[in-house]
Amino acid sequence: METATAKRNSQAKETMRRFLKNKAAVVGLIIIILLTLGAVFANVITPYAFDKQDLVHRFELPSASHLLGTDEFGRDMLTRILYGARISLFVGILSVSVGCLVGGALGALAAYYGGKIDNYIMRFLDIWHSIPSLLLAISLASAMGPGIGNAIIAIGLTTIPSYARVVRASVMTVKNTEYIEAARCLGANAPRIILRHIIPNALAPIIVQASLGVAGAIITTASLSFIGLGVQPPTPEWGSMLSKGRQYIRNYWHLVTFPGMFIMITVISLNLLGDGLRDALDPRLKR
Amino acid sequence: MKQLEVQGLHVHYITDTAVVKAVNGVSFALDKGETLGLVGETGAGKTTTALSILRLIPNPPGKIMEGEIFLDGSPLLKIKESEMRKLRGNKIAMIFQDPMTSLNPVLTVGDQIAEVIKFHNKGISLADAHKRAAEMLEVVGIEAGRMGEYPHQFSGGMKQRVVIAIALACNPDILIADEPTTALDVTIQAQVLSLMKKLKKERETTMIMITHDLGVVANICDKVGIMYAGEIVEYGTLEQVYRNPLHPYTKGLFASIPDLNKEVHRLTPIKGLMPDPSNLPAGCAFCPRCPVAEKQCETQNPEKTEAEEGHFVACFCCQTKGKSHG
Repeated sequence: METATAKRNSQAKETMRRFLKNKAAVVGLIIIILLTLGAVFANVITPYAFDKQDLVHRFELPSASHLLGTDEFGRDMLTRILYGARISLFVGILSVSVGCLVGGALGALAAYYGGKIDNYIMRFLDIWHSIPSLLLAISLASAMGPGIGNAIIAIGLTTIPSYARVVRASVMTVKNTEYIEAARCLGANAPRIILRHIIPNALAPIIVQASLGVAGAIITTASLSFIGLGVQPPTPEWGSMLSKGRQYIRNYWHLVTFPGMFIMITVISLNLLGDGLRDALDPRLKR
Repeated sequence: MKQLEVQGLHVHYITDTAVVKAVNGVSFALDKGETLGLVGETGAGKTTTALSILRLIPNPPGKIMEGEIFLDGSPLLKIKESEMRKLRGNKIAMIFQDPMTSLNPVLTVGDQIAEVIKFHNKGISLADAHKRAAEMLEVVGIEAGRMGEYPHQFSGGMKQRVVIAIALACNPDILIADEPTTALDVTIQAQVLSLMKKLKKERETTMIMITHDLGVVANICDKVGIMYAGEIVEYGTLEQVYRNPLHPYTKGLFASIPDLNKEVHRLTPIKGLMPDPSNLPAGCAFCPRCPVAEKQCETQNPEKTEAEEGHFVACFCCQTKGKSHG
């Protein structure tokens, strides 16, 4: 295995080279990395606690001591936004994982076995998909009760059909290649063929869909929190910060502007990253 | 007991609009270490015959309608799928036509060889499997140091060597090679063929060589089956078929090979095309193209006749000479 890992990267390297050529995607990646670092080291970066109230310094505009100002309870906005990034990225990634795993498994089964199984799975998912995803997330979250765990499950469940479709399409292309037939000739059984031979070859579009999906999940989390079904106070979350700040928008612009800006920047960066990955992983665009 | 025996194999592909009769009554038997060359045009049913032995006909639409296949006397078409999986790659291995597409692009060649070893040697450690994979690479003439490289880092001929290494990794009794040299250029073809010949001899592997290159057959095979429209129309030892071709189709094939010693302006091809396998003629399938066709050829399909010992021909032209044979 030593020799195998040593030279394993050549394909990854090639993809990396193409990715780095795309400036917008690199900017997106850098922003995401900075944001992730900010979220992970939030407790180190800021001297304030996210739930420490300081009623003397309410509604302060951005200044040297409070870079993004303070909110209606005098809590530091930057601190809350950084802690909010934890929630957003956490929910984004976990809900995408839920959607990706369940949807991916269904899509792969449908594509691999085809015929009736394919028809049953995909028609069911078509019905699933026909329900507007935000509406579905809202009803699932309100049925299961508010809270971060339920938000993750609700958002994950709504994204299942889109992952299933992407995975199904790419598995169907890979499944008819000769090396899959060759693997069957060697005595490989179905799970092994799917997991070891088909999925790694069908991964590129899934990665792209997932990175774009995180952006969508962040917006949905924010929307759920905005209407009070997502993360509960005092835990900071971008959507709930927006929702709270809305009451003071006439006098204190910074309460809504900064959380909104962070949502926007994160989503745009993730989209740039996803687009860049798609271009870098698509062999037809090889230069 | 023969090592591999195929009896009266019929394979049809059933689609909504037509039934494609790909293989119509193919029979042959091979002793250990023998090599059979299956020769025929594209669509003659060579690959379908090979895939039936592995029971890998895509189903649907493909279906083995009748016939029996015996490996060392046990009926392959009756055993369970899980049993069959144990045989594939272990007792019966296959080499595919195009090495460019028959290797998985995201796994290193070492992993791909080790994989088949792991399948069929339960409990073998990863390190041992990789060690044996490295040995296999050396056997086919590639440095073991290239274990960790990906298929795209190899040339076509090298890839075919890797494919051969995978096929032979478990020392199979039967090796099916489906046009193993078609995708390679001529010099590489020669190298790969001599490698296969050497390995087959060393390991006493029984081999079925599918090709449309009569030169390849002459080089490597002991027995020859000429296939036409899903039937073996002529079957015999290399010597018998090449020295004394009896079926008009075989004669036509040999006549269409250019002769280096004669100057000709045009080659002499066999006129016409192979019949549509979903709409085979009632009589002999070759009748519409046959230069010596008679009245009875249009309505009756000739049975296989033994023209000399071990040399079978399915043509009325030989039936007067020999005795009829089912």
